[in-house]
Amino acid sequence: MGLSITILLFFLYYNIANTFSIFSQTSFTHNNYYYYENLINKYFNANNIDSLNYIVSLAILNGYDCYNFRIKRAILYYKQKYYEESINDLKTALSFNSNDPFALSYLYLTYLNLNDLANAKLIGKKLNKIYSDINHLSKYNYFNFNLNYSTNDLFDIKKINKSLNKNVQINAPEKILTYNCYVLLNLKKIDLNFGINRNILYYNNLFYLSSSKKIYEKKDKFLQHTLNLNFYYNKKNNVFGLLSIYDFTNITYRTYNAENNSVYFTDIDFYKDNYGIYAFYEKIAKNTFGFFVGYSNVNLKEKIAFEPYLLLNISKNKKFSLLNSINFNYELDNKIFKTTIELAIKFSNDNFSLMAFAGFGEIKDIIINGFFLYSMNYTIKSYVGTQLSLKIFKNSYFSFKYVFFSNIYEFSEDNKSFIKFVENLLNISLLCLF
Amino acid sequence: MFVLIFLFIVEIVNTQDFNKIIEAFSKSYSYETKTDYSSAIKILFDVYDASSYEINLRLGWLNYLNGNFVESITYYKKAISLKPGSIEAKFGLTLPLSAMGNWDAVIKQYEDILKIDPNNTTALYRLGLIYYNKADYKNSYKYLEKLVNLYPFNYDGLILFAWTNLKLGKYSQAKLLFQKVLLLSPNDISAQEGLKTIK
Repeated sequence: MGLSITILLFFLYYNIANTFSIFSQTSFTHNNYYYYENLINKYFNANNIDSLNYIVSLAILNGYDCYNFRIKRAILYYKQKYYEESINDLKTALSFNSNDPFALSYLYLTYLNLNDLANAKLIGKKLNKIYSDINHLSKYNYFNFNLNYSTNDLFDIKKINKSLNKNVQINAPEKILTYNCYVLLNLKKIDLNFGINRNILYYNNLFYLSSSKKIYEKKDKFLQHTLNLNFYYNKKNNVFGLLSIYDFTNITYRTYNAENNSVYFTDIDFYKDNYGIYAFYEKIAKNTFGFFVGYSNVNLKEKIAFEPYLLLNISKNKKFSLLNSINFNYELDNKIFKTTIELAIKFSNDNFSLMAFAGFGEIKDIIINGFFLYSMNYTIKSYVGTQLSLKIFKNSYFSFKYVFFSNIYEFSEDNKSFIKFVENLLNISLLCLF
Repeated sequence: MFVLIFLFIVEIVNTQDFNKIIEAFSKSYSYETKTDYSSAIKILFDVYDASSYEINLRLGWLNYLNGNFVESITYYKKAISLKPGSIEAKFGLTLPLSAMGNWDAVIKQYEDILKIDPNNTTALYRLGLIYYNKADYKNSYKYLEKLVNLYPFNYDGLILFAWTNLKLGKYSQAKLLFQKVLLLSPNDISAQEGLKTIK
């Protein structure tokens, strides 16, 4: 009897002691972190949610309420479609490790599965930023001031008759000299671009204003809308008018894959140009609906970047085009200067174009670029240029650029007439990142 | 006279207590060497004094080694409350917290350390590393830049700062830093990989 009472008292004491953590102060056999961790891993791997739940709850009761345990239970809850329970654990996990992309990803998916789009959107927004940072695509806010001066013999048009192989001079007014000045303010969600382009000889002032708003929808997905307005004012005749409006809407879905350094793109574009400034742009402007899928491995700089894409274009005049393109980038660094070669081949049902780009430079920030584009349908274009960039303050750069353009545009329906013009462009630019 | 006798007795008792504490500490070191952390904890608990910074700190460490992270946190917090200016207790507290994945609390401890000792290189490096692992490269840059200014030719700081620059797209700075790492460690694989990525 006495022994029974002693044993009973011992058990009673043991239980009380255990309840008030007396043993936990001194004890050695008490379940420690690794005890719970082992069991949690075991049940997690076995997808045994009941046992896992029991052990995690026990661990939490014993003070081990931590990220590592909460995240395990949350994932298993998610896998077994106990979404409400998963949310609870994910939120607690995030309270221990805020902005953890792993927990946020599961929270985002959980909200999506619960059809709670408002919360999914909020989490997606956060994730979008984190993933952008992971993929080194975080964008600076910047302010860019540009001053351009160009000489252009655009109106000194030589009509080239292909069949006669003879140049014919048509309406050749004097060359034009223009300068323009523009300011670009790029903020996280909106770009503002405003400026003036002045034709010195004709006293024409062209004002332009464009804004581009990025509306982030969900993870990796955003909607961008650009509205551009151009006005002109002719001082000589005192005429003010609207030159061109274009309206561009773009929905992009991108998947950044940090593990294998690749980016997958799906873009849906709608482009509307109410009035083309130059007649020869009309063919490719107006209303265009585009669907673009692409892939790029240039997320991290690779030796050779391979960027195939497929573009489906449906324009107002019911022209259907399917554009395939393969781009190769190659960079050679022989310690004296870096060479970049880019080759793009594009072909569609009515067009073939070949584009080549070569960049030499980065010898103390001097960059020399060359460019060639051949298109079977409308243009042959080339330019050579040089650019000098200097860092003047912390995050501020000054650059000077000279580019020589040479353009030949197809001009007539019978593919026999072309116009040709050359252009010199001087650009001084100040870029401040903030 | 009575007071003197009383003080004498108190002194004897104190000396005896102190000897007991020294012995307990000595034994706890022996047990720790043998990885018998439970015994090391038990022996110290026999002389436990809640107002002793040293005992609480040691119990924090031993409980951490024994996997008793909750107890470890409790003792480290007690040590911090006894000596709020101590950075060693704060460093100790980061151990169980980081083992449980509670990184926000770890960051807070390192930030508290930097408030006391703004140029503490361990705290600067670890904060840089935590933010790097969280892909928060801007914050990582902030701490590592300071560290590399203090120790411009130290491997750990340089290599991590180089990678942070690379992740932020600052390729020219990253290149320079990787090259410096190669001066320290000419065949360093990580630096070579970094340079290869930039090319």
